[in-house]
Amino acid sequence: MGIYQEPRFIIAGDSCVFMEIGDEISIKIHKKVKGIFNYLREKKITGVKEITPAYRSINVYYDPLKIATKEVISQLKKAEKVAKEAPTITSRRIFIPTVFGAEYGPDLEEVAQQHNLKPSEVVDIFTQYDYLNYFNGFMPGKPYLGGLPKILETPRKKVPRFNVKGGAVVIYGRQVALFGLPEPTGTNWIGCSPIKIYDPRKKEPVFLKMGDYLRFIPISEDEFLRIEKKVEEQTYKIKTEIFREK
Amino acid sequence: MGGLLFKDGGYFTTIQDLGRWGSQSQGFCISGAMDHFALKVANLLVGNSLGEACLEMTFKGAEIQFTGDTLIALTGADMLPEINHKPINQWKTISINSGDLLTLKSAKSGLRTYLSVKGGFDVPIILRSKSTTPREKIGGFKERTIKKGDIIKTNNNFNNQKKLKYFQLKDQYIPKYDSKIKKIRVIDGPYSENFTEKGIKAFYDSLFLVSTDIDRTGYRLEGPLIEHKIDAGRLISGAMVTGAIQVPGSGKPIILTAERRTHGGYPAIATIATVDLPIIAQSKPGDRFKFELIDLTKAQDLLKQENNFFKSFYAYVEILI
Repeated sequence: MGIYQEPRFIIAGDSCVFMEIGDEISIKIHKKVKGIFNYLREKKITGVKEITPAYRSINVYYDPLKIATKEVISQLKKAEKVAKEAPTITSRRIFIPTVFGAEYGPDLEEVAQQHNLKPSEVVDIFTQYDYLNYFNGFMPGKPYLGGLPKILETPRKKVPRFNVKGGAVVIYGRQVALFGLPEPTGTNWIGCSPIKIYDPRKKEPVFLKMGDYLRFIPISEDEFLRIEKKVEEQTYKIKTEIFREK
Repeated sequence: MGGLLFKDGGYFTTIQDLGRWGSQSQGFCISGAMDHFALKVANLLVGNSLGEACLEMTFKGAEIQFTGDTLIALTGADMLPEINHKPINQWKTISINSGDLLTLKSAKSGLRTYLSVKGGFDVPIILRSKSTTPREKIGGFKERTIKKGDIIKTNNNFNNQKKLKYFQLKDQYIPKYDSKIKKIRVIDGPYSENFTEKGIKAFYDSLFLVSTDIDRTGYRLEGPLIEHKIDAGRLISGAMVTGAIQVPGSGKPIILTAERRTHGGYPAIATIATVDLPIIAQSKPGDRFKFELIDLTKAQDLLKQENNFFKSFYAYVEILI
């Protein structure tokens, strides 16, 4: 388990190669993926159309009329050797104001019951941790957040909800997500943030970056409405700080 | 300034080009034309660059009044087009006078029809593409499908039609969408090792029916269940690829198409050769697929042949004027 001795290359159709560098979700593998991803993005290899990272893999989409598959693989092997682990100093900690429970988080009660906790205790625990954004994906701006403590590990719901609104804060397994747009989901909806992690009105519509740490801050409903209005007027500034790992 | 006034938007009409490449790492899907072949031919017939945005009309076409002189072409599914109530041909350059009315019906064969206009549509380029993804509220005309009453401007206001050439793709190069059993060429994987031998045999030996659950995100197929090895039905989430035939725990395959999600966690038994994606785009519920395994070299050679077709396009057309 962990990082492979040599990366594994997987042919995915006639115009894409997957590079896998390990077989688990871990911060160590994440840092390596981020390092390779940043290196490849800067290198701009002719014929490569797009590079997309995930937990333990990087997909390279290429035009086979411009670059041979074996050349793509040899470039990836080189990148894996050259790219250093991504430096941690550039990580941001982002504060996400969130209302928990009631209509803002209809599954909070049930989650609390499952763990024999009070809803307020779930919120206390949940807001003490920083959640690492391993990468964005699935929907515009949506982070894949890890780091939910074992005590809050919660299985997906048996019956999915048809549509959960943008701003929803959800937990599933030991993962956390924050929605930019409404989507159907089987995850447990515990809170709602007034901030928009995806705002198509903006020149850079996606706010979160791979490697950001998110900290959820409990707020009141009044504060939610106040921030929501500012977000709508595009005058709200999301609070961030430099994050240094222990 | 020329434009198109929609008297009827059709069943599902959007602006699409060759897709929004380069933003999957921010969570944006690639989107773009389901049938890249028909889109490219439509563009070449009016002298546009290969990847200019066209209208993609699904199942039932639009009714359009033109508000300026222009050239158009219609490719893909046959929607029995008429200009001012007189039938016209598809896969051909068509001269349009201001005020002309284009009417399209339901697709007689195939599913998706492309309409190109000379100079392209005047819609903003968002994240390097004009493609519409309604789910993501991005791109195209007002980030949505076209409705009755919409007016879309075109980039060209031209008055030199006489100097232009008119082309018709020779009949033998026009794709036929009628056959009920379609051969689809695929290459192995990614993650075909997660299936049992029995599962793989079922995949290549059987016919699969296109279900009614099809859209620009994916095509669900009906057929024998494809068996996973024990505990091999889920993967650590990773980025996906268009054309992948994923098999979730149900054992029923799903073909990922243009608006597929960026990431997912099911193994794919095979991935469709890019040159055969247009066959999927033009297939309807009730059609049947037979998958044929080819290797990577063969799939890339087919793509080169397709590219050569576009490079030498004018060898495959009749020049009308």
